[in-house]
Amino acid sequence: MTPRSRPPDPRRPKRRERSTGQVWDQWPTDLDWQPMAPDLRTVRLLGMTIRLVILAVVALLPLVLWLGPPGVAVAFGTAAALAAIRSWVIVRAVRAWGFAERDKDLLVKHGLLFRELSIVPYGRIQLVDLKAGPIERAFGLTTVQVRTAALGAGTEIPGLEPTVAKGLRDRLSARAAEVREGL
Amino acid sequence: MSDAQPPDRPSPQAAPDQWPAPAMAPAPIGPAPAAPVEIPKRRLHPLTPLLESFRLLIAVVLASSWQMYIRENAAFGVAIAVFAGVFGAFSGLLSWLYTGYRVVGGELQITEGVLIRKSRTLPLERLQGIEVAQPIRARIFGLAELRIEVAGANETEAPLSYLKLGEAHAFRKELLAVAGRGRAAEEPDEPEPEAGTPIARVGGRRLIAGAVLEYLPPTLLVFAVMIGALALLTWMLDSADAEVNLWRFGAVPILFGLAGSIIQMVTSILRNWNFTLSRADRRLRVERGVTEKHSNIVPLSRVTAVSVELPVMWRLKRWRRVRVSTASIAQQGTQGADGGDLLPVGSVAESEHVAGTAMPQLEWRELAAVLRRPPRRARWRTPFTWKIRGAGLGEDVFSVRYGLMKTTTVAVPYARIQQVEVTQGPLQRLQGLATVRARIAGSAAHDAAAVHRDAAEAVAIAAELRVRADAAAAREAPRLS
Repeated sequence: MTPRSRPPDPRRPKRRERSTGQVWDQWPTDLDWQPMAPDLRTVRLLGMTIRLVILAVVALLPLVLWLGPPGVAVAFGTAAALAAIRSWVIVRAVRAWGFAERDKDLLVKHGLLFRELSIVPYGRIQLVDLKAGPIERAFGLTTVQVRTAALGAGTEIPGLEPTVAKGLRDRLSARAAEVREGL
Repeated sequence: MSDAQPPDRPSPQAAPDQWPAPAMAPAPIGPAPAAPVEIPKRRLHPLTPLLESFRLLIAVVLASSWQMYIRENAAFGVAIAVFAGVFGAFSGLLSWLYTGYRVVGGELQITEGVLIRKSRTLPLERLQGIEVAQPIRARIFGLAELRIEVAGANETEAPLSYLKLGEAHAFRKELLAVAGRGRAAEEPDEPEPEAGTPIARVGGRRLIAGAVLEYLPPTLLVFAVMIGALALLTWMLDSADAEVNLWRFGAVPILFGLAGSIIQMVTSILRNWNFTLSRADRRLRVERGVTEKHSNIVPLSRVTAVSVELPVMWRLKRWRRVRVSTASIAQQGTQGADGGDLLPVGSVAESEHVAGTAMPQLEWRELAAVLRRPPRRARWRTPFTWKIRGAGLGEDVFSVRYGLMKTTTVAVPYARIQQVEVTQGPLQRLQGLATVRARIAGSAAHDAAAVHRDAAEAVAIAAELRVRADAAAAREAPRLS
């Protein structure tokens, strides 16, 4: 949290000008963002594939009846192309996830196209949950879910090694109990 | 929140020196779990399906009468009504048969669904509050619904509806007992002992004028647009036959829309008839209603945000409306949408006084001075509201202004901010803009969002909000504990 003392950078104004578009390039800069486990990429890709396969199986018969075999081929080709783009986005989006713990709050950033930075003060945390979907479990990953009294604003940190997740959960709940603030 | 939920303070044994601390989820906030009480499975009131499909019923009636009107064929409309009625009754009966609730091992389980069984489980030890609410359709039959709020639930759970009123109150007490909050059971329904000092009254004439001025412009606008569209279509088709049909088809939605907005206007007048706001100790008391008095109490300590609204035509009269949001569940229910009024319509001075009473630290007049517009390059994103939009950090509150047809200024005290979010969409990134959102307890509808700020400024606001929120919470800590 202490600002790293760095020598005056001659390119600084330029850098600043260029980076006005990036929310978390400017602040907080002096944090060590924890990345997600690389396996999260696989989890997300696998999840997408499974959903697509299910959708394809369900849609196959109606599509054949409606469009005929050539139409189905076109539809599936389009779907495959979209899936390829989506996979590329997923790979990059997983890299965009990150969380950082500060003295008084937890920061979570995510999103590639629509970027989001959530700042959750420890004192406002109501619940910390660990959860894992079936694919996540197969890869030994866990999601930490943090909730405050603000509804619909659940903050998730997916793709953590179970030990990391447990450690994070314990730290969060301990700090939440230390400094509890009201609604 | 201090008076309604004192048991929510953490148990003191979770000291920092115990490391790693015990997990929070398995042993949540609140009192020690009571001995498991079992309440056997019960069913909802048999009239539930009828009330649940109230809106559907109206839609069916409308659809069938529309068909009768269009086809000039009564039989067809009747057939629709009968078919929908039979189908609705059958599916309603089935869903009623398969819906039940019970308490097992400190959890309230609600099971529903005929084909796909669905079971909702509410851990009662995390109970934040239960309210017995009576929407109008339920009041007719003397029924009520239970709104149950559980800490950390994703959304307000769907209410348990409907039960007989007495049954609902009894079940509420039982649930509170299970949750180990026996003494909380009698607290909220307690009538206010002292009358309090009146702060604001709203006369009938002003209420009517306010409602007319508020609802007239949007209604006229929609009316004009639809008439214009029809006229354009007529002109384009240019056939007498088509014209007649067109106007016949078009008249019905227009008339329905008109009737809808008139009904809305009248209900808003009736709802706030005889409106009186008074203050007693640290509570505000709102009384209103035509024949029977509705009263609700807003504890000042639970106010999470104050907003002042200015519908566009009210500028003529220099009137304002003041609303509050509180952390209570009533805010999120159907009643809550209207329940936050502290002053339905009043002069500038009155509104400042009421807003100042609701939030004593707030200097409403100074607040306008801190509001800053978004940067000029954001103008085309919201061309009509760019001039109106503003956000600023006040002495004790974060304040945001937005809206053209209804200009709203929201003030959220720093101490009530739950979490802060900075978001940036792709277009915003190209322009170097970002949105800051201060989330408060309760539904997202009451959040204060500063839209399209300069990215650097947005980040600075977020950082400042966090610092000030911590400072404000620290100052407040003695009062809350």
